[in-house]
Amino acid sequence: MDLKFSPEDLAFQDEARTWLEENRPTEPRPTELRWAREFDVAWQKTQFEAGWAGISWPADWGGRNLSMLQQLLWYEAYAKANAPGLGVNFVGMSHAGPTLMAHGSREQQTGHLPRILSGDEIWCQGFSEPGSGSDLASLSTRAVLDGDELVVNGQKIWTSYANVADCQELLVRTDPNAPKHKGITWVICDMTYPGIDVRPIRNIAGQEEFCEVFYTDVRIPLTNVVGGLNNGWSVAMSTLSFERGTAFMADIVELANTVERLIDEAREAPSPLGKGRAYDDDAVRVQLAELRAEVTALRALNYATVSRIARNGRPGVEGSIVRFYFSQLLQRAYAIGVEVLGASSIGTERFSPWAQGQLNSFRASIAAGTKDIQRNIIGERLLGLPKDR
Amino acid sequence: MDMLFTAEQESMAASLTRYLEAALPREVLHRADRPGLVVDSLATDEYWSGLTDLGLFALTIAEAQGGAGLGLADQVALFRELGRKLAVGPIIGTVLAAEAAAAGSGNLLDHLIGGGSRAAVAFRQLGTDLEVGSRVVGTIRVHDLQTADYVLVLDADAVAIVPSRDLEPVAIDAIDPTAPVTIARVDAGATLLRHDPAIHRRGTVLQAAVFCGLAEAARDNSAAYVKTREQFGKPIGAFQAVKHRCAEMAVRAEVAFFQTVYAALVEDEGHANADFHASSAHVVARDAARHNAADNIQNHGGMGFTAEAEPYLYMRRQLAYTNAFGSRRAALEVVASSPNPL
Repeated sequence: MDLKFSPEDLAFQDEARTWLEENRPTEPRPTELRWAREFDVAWQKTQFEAGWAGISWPADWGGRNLSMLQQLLWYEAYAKANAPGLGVNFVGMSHAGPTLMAHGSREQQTGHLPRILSGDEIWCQGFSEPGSGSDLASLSTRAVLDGDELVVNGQKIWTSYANVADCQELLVRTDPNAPKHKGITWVICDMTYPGIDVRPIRNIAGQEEFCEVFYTDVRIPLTNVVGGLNNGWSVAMSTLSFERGTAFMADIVELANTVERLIDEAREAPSPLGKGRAYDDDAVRVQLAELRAEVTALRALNYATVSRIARNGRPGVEGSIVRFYFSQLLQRAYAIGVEVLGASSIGTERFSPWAQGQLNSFRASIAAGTKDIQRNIIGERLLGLPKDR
Repeated sequence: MDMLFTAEQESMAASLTRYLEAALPREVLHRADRPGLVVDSLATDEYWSGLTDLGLFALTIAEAQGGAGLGLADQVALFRELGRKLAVGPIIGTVLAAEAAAAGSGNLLDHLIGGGSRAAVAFRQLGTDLEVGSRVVGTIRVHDLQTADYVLVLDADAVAIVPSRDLEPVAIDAIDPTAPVTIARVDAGATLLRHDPAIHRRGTVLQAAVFCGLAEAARDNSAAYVKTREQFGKPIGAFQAVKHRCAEMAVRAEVAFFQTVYAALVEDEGHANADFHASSAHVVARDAARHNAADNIQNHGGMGFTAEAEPYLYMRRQLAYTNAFGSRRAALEVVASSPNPL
């Protein structure tokens, strides 16, 4: 038990900090999605070419094969440097990539993994449907076998970046007669296939990032199936465990940064009673101190995740604890931000930054499994409580 | 970097758990609750010598001084079990007094780590004056005074040890009869005086570890109950209203535990921000113990409101420790006034 970093870790940390300071983009990410994609891709390529894109990815796929701790040190350096996030590369880097590494064929791996890492291939996720959200296994987008192809008809929803993505991780029902978890297939869908129609949905924060996707007789070659026909549920569950376990480590570091920024701004902002500074107001101070203590504890959970991966090779069910706690703290941070700084931070933008952040924060307890699903997982798989389904 | 217990730490903790289950079975704790103002420390000589044999009081004392030379993180592994099993007696005071005495001369250290003497921990009673110098004069709040030979007074960065016989008790809080809090007047010469903020900070982390144990015990107590208690034809743990409350208990326990471990390792390795991490641990662990104790009562329904089921034990114990090592507000002030920890 220790917090020590090896000489290699420390050298890595130094190198990362220096490189980020010199190479991170300093202009803001464009709000319009086309330009945002270009911005994200260019930044991904810059990182890739300098060897920073896939720190914990295997060398076979262009990664550096370093430890999860070094990956976390990278995220920390990254947040400290205020470098932009993965953006449109999120699904490829955090879902599709790890899933293909675990379950893909050699052809699928060589065909996609290097392109994901280099920013040449953007992915989106086709899991949820209008009638299948938390009850994901009830999904009904149908795929019928026809020769060596699957013919897909149906609809997906909440697909972030579908309007700018090249590929999709798509869950389809291939055996409607099997029990619901047994008839699902995980397939790679090229977004240029005929019969795909994408309609963006505007979200509460004013962005058009997520979409509805409609499939009419979309023909997908069987060679695109990942992990075997009708085996898609277990493939999808491993995708989600990556997401809950490690994909959000960077977000946690960023939240810690946000809270420090909130405290810095509260030192300057007027107090809610009008006299003096907000941070000297007892009620504000207590709320911010509680938040700071809890976000510090959340960072300790990040280190615990890294330790579990180092010891057991996987993050474990505790990933749902991290996800749930993160979503609650993120929402509280922005709610406090609005209360303490909202009035004084109104500028020329359509939404003031803390209010926009608060609107955006609602996604954290919905995406990647709602907070209710996370609590089901914690209750059932960690505490062994009975299912109600 | 490794935040998980080693096999040695786990086996040390398991030995302590086995000992406490045998020495302090639940029915003994239940029997301590009787009508009237009752204080029943339960910390007999035999019980204390068992703890001594397990090396509890000498863990962090240097080997040259008769200790095991281990660190705060090792102590956390044990204090979490003390919380979980509702251990009794002035353990935390004795451990800290031994650490304070290790830097001094005389044979107080040997008495404390050898089990021959016990020290109760005490803090300034809020709203009263306290002078901690070669004499300690004022009003203090003492935890588990009943079987203690000495009192370890912690105030700001001053650490003083006075004989317990020099105290004049004026009030007692027996909300938990097995962990009473005594308000006492003192006007006595200190047998040991040091200025060392580390003692208070280490105690803060150990108290956090005790809170972690209480939070975990309440969580486990609930999980076990809701798996078997049936209503509407199924175990109540199947209902989301109950399941989600239990899940949140698990979240609090996990958060509290890893922040406490982190704070201990920061202390052991001499990193910056030790006060900040210790106080953060204290806040999240105390909150976890308090909220989990409350949720555990709720999960047990009518049984939770009785003095026959277990939940009241965890609630009363965390109430008894409410202001140990400072108020929640004081810990938050340390957090608020710390520099950016990133």
